[in-house]
Amino acid sequence: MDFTSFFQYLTTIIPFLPKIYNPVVYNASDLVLIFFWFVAAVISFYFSYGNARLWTSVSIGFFLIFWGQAYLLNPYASSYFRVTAVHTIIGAVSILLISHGFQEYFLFTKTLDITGSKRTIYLTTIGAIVLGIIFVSLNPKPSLFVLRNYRMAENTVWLFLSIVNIFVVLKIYHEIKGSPIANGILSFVLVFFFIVIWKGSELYLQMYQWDPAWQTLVEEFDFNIQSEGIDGAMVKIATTMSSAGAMLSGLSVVGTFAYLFKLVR
Amino acid sequence: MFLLPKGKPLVENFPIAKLQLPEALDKLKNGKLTGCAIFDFPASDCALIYEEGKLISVLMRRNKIEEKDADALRALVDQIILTDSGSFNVYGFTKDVNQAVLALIRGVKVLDRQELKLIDFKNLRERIKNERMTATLKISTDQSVGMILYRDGETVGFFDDTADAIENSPAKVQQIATLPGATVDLMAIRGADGVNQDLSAQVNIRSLWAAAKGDVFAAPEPANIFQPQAVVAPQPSPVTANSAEVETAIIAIANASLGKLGKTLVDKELLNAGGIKALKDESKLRNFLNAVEKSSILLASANKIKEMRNAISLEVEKL
Repeated sequence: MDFTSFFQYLTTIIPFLPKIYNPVVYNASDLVLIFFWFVAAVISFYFSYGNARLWTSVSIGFFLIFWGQAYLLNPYASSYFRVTAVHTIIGAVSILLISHGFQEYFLFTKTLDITGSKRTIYLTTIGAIVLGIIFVSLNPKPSLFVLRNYRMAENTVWLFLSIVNIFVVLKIYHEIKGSPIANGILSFVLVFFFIVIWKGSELYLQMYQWDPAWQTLVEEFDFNIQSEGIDGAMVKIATTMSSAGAMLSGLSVVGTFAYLFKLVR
Repeated sequence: MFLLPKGKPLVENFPIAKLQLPEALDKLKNGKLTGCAIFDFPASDCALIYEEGKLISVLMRRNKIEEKDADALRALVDQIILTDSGSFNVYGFTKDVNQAVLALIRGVKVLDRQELKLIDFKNLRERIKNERMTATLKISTDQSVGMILYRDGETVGFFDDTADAIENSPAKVQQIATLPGATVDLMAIRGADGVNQDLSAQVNIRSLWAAAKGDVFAAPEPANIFQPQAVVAPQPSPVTANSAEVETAIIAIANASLGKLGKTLVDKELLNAGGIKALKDESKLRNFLNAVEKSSILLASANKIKEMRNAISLEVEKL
């Protein structure tokens, strides 16, 4: 889907926007994915309203995922490397927040205490992002290589925390089994399973330099490097799993929150 | 964690998750145990003292709160149901040592963290002997704990936190007594304190166990759980049968509304409120309901919580 003329029109009515020279083309699947994350962010925020603060952590986390995904659609995303690096850090912060939320839930099932304020969560999130900005600002402007490293680090954090979250959610389910909300919480296992598929396969492609970002670098810098096995079936499977995992994780988050709504209504 | 003397090990480090409490206690009873059974949970401990198969004392300690006898047994059942981890140990003692251990966990504190250097230790030992005390003298420092066990004023054994069994030699305890900052506790019981009761005859463990396993409605009426005619020694439980019925009904409501955590939540908030009878006070009832509601939002819908709140309020009116 070609959005070039739309963004060019935007630059005419908003004069301070930089001109668009390159075509802006999106896959329909990317747009659907962003839409899912948007819905997930809205529902999770609504769900956290008036609820315990652990849902604030989870909802901010899902909102930041949407934010990070939506940023990639921005036609200037690849022009401002520092901003792109900050968004990668925001991506890592989002899974940290979600994990924090579920760990607080697990603690609750053991102690039945709900402590702490939502303000702390908001301020800590802002603090973490500001720290990320400071970190990126103090260092040299990231190159495309560095940005790819950032993404690898982000995917690693996502992969391992999602695996941990699956176990934490199962533990929570075991503790609250029999309560009305138990099956809704269990649904998050599916969410994190799809996230593991999504981020895990992406990390796998990056580790073997089969990812599109590496291929772009090879072309751009005219490297004479051939990533061995790039035409193999594993690359095709991993690429498909990454796309399907991304789509299904967004979809499952929407479904899980909708189900939770039904359970707590 | 309790530091109790270790006697002859009969069961050691048995995982609590695999334990069937009624059967385990039956075995201790039928085996005419004289000794103690210790349940080590991650955040609490429970000690059961047996004398020839009679369960003469139970002490549960969790969150710095101690519960005794019938209340402790009920708390123990809850802990086992709710906790996956922990270990179960049983040690056999001679009757004399057993009485000294009983003094350790439920005796009157004759001395409470007295600095050893300020005490005339010789006089203290003479006093124990002359008054024929059945007692445990505990000597503690930041790093070590030693115990001297007495029955009717006579020394019946020594124990310290590095020992695997009751010892006949006072050497290690004397060594602890010489350490700087050592303090002394003396816990003593009178001749027949707590010996005549058999808690296993007063508390229906099987019913408590079945109720805690989730079959709340199938459990016998709580008034039947306690059998007052079997009580020989004075019981610390101030809860009347009616209060117990209301408490069980509230737990059943919470269980039905929130699942198994409902029972734990109500137990916890009742403890905070000061017991079921405290709910007669309107402000305490309101605080109790608010506290239960606050935690319930992570377990159930707003409507369900509202229904539960109303049902609990109706039950409390029966008090």
